Amino acid sequence: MRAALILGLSLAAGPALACGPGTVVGPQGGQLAYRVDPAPAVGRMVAVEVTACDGLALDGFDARMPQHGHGLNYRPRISAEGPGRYRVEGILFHMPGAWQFVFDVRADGNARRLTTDFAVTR
Amino acid sequence: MRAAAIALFGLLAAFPAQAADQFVFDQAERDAILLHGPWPPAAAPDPSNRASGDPAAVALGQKLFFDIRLSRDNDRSCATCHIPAQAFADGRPRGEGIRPLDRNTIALANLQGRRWYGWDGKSDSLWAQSLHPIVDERELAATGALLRDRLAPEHDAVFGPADDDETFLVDIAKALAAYQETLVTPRRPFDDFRDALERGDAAAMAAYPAAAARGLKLFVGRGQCAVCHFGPAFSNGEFDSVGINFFLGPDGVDRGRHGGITALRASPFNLLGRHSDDDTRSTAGPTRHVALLHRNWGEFAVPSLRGVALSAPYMHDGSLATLADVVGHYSQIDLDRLHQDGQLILQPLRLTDGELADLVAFLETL
Repeated sequence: MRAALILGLSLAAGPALACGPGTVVGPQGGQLAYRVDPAPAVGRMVAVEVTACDGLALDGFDARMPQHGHGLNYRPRISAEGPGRYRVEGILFHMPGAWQFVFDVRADGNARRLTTDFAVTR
Repeated sequence: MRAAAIALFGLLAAFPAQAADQFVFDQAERDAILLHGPWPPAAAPDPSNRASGDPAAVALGQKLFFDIRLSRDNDRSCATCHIPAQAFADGRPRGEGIRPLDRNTIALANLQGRRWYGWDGKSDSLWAQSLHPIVDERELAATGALLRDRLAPEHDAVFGPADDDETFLVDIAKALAAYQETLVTPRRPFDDFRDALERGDAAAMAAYPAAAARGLKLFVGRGQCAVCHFGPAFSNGEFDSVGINFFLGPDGVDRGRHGGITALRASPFNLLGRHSDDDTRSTAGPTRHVALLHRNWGEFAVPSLRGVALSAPYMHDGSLATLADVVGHYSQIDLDRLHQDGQLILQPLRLTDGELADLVAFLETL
């Protein structure tokens, strides 16, 4: 089963473009939607499908455990799947607990780092 | 804030009053405990090894495991160091092959389906890990050509003729792996307790030693042991630096996981190479994506804790003689010996003598 999540970004307001079925566009316009496939679990290698809205480009991705002071033991790779769509492969959560996704995005030449927190519980 | 402690399904009335507390777990503790089972896990053949699960290959592997013809000098076998009566370890701090080795001999059990093998994880399959001691000059010091001369009839009866010496060697390792996959530790008192907890069977839970239950509570709670010793095998299958010395004498260093990843990438026997029998490379994702990091220096495998009471001494260098020593190490861990970019949750637990004894009592039920 896929876990679908939406990340609202604190970017400057711009033209709000719907970026895919099921995507919720927030009041500030800039958004990025992602879903983890398959659902996160310790020791399971997963991919993250990203839809970048409003002309955003995904330049980098990482995951980390801020409370533990470390990130992944694996290096994810980003591949472009189409306009605004990306697939990040090679993600393996090696511990249960509080994780954070880090998306490095670019819009109109400006680079920004966006994060979202979630828990791996099983 | 965590939910308040919950009584287990209203069944605590069945316990004597003095025995109740150690069997009360809050929801987070209960969830964490249940993740350590059920046991045993379902067997799943290794797609990279066409011998996995093949009875003929298992029989050949079992025979060869005890066969001195796998050594150059016809004087030692896998079982010389992996002694069945000693949990397939050897009871020594560090292994003794033809020459002394740098690390503790790992007990062999519950090996199927792991991502990495060995203290440094230099192998991404059980068959590759089984191959290394055969050719290591410090261990059995054999070669594929030597084994082919000695073992061709037995090999060919299971695998058919091999194209070359290297493939022959890999086939022998795959038979050894097929046998080792059958080494599974039996159900233990913890498993009965865990299953009783899951179904709310207070009477069955009460059969678990009280000290072990208190130790379990520490293990999944304040001790945070279950963060790394996670899941039914009590290991997350990864690596960490936990303040154990990794220098080898005055001039040497055991690079641990850093050396393991380096060796993995250079190995013709990894899951991306020609010897994998899985055309789709379906289990090779970790090999493809593993990162080589500075903090890998001095990291060693998080070992499974199943059967741990039988496999002393402990840690990658066998430097801790007893389970009490291991628990004591974590209780008083020296943060100055940890990487600055290492695991922040490793903190001295400063356990009381009673808590130390409880944790050991728990480990002895695995």
